[in-house]
Amino acid sequence: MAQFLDMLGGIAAAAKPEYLLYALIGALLGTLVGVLPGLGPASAVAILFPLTAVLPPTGAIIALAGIWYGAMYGGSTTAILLNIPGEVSSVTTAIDGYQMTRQGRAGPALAMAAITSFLAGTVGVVLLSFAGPAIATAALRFGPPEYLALTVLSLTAVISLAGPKLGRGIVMALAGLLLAGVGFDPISSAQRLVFDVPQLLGGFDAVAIMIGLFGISEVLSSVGAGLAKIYSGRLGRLWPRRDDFVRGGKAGIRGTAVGFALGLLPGMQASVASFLSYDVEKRVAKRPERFGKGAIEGVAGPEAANNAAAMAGFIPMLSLGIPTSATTALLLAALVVYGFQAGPLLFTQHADFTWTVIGSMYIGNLMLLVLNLPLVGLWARVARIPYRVMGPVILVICVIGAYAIRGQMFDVWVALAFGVFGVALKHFGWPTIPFVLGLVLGPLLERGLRQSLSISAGDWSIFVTRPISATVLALAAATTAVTVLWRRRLSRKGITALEE
Amino acid sequence: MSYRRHFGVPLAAALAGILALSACAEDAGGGSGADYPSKPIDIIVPASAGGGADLITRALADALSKHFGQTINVVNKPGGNNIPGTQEALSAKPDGYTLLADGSSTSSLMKLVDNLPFKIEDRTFVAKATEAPMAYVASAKSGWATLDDVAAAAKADPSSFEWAALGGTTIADLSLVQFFDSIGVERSKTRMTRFPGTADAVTAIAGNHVSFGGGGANAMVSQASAGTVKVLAVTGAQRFAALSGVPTTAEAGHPELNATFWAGFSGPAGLPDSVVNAWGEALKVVLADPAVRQKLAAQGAVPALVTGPEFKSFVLAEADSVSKVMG
Repeated sequence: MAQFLDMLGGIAAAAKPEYLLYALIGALLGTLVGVLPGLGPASAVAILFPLTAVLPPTGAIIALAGIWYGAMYGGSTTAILLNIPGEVSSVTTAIDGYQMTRQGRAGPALAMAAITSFLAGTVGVVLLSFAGPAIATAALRFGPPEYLALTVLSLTAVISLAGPKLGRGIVMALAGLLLAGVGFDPISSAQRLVFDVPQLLGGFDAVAIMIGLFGISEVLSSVGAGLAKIYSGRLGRLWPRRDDFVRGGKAGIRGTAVGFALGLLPGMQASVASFLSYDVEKRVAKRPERFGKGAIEGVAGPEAANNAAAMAGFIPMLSLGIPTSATTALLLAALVVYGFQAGPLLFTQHADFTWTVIGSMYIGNLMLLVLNLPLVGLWARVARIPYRVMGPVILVICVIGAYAIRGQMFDVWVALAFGVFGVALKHFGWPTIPFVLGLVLGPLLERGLRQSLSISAGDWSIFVTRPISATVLALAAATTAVTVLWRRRLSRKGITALEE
Repeated sequence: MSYRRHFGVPLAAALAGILALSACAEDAGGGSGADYPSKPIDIIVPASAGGGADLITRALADALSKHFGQTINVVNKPGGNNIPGTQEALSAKPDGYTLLADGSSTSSLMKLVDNLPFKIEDRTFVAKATEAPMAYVASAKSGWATLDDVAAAAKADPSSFEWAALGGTTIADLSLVQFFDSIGVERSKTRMTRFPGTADAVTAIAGNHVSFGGGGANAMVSQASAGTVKVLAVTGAQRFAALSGVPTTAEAGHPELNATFWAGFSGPAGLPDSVVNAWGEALKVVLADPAVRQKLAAQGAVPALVTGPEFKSFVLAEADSVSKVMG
């Protein structure tokens, strides 16, 4: 309880008028940077970090928190409105979010994304204050075999992301895994699948591929179909309906649980949390066939999950000094600039400051809601702009975004090539999401497997003799079995729900 | 046909975007001499924003830009084991307006790369600005308290000696390889696990999934204060401020362990002396600034200014050491 009061104190300390202003400016700048695909939260924080140096410590951290959340939300905005995921963790948001936009429901999608993100942040900060340092040490029990098991569990999401033809989903996931192998081997720095092309040394960037598969291919196929506007009807209500709140709210709670649990582990990425959350939503849904066609749960769950993961990431970061992502690594460095060393002692020795930092994150989250809800109406109108204007604008955003990733034209060509590839996939009915899943999980899978086997000197029993790893693998096997049996039963009964 | 009409516009726009970007990449030209710098300077960091080298470069660039009265753009060109970004900086026009954020991974460690598309010494060595000590670290549960404890364990039973390496081409790897070399244990007989970065390696050591490893001293501080790892020794001339109880490698009886993570600047071959001198002078001023020192300390780095020819021989000596012990 004392910790809970400390947390409230932190929020109060962060809620001074000038701090609120910093948070607002930070969130605004972050959103502007984050709207450009290719510039994710980590780049936004790194680029804007020098600007915050003029502020006092607490103000600077608050501004950085605003930038971070702004950039994350900026990525979701373009995912929903234009089918361009600004970062890997918004891929799942794009699936149903863009479909909602095409149905004139961009307003509810954007609003629910902001609301569930905020709720996940709220739950996250409360859990943080109660559990905080105590659960942090538990994360250390996760070694390479445990991470491998979690990655395998995440890969089983292919089954529900595959669409009607499971075989095709598996093929696409394998293709993604294979493509992730291009470039320097992350373990021994050997060159793989490079074919003497110097640009391939750096491997394919997942964001460039996503910009192509989603943004560019969408423009190409929309233009091919002679689309006049993303949505031509009258815009309905901007605010979510009661039904949206109920469905989205429940999805948000589940997403928060998934995201928070995964966020505690330093090796897992927020994108894995959003994929798993989407998978969970599709599995628990009474009518899974609504997914991919504008299901609010598909937006609310993953958005809550990646926000909760971000909040949970503070636990290992502050109490163990382990950066959970590129962004927390930057924030960690920022703390040191102000003379604070993360670690278990931070919560006792600098409790005021620590809770003010956590409070700042919360305020950053709140600012985003304040900033974005009024803008929902404006954003939603984007769908009604004639496509002969929007198409080129989207293409230009995609090209600039691809270039911005690493400042290389190579990524632009990759994005354009995958744009064409995406059109072909859609035309022949091959799913794209399993491909992205493979691409994201590939490096994690490889690393976990090779590290575990070098620790065990090649003994595969390491995966089943360690309790956590064995449990997670058993869970993966069980979910696979249940889903496969369920798919069979449905098709025996002749129910075509999944065949749509 | 509406199909063609709709298709033409976005394609033309995308093409325009591409052309605009290529145009940005062109050098606008400009003279160098007494008035250097007379226009903004680009510093290419061949790694992603937010990494150690990037943050040190940004901290220095900020202060240098105030000193020079010119904008300094830090441009990240990550990927490809630093090779494409380094090559881009080193093949720029040698006018002092495109420099490389240099370090071991963009110079000496490239000895390990087969078919490197350029020569390591084929650059103008401007200055080494900072260095950050490396630390040797063991899990708390291992019970080891000194480098010699580790050496004894590794010698007694190499086949069960578990340690954490990084990609095999980093300065942390050099420090670990130096260690095995110095105690006379063959690495191939030990049990090595590779991790993609220091943070991952230290986390695994803290969880006692592997017993021994090394990396930037700064990355060890919080785990050391949590008591999950034991820092055995740090490299560098002095003790590391945040780990003042930890001896230097020289104090621990191993002065031959001398790898540090240094950051500096180089340029394309043929950079005018006036530019090299201007940078040497500027760095001298900037590195004396307490605010800059504080920002560097956040990265575990301390000023260690070495300029021109001296810097060149430092890098070439490190490159020799790399090819001798790691090659």
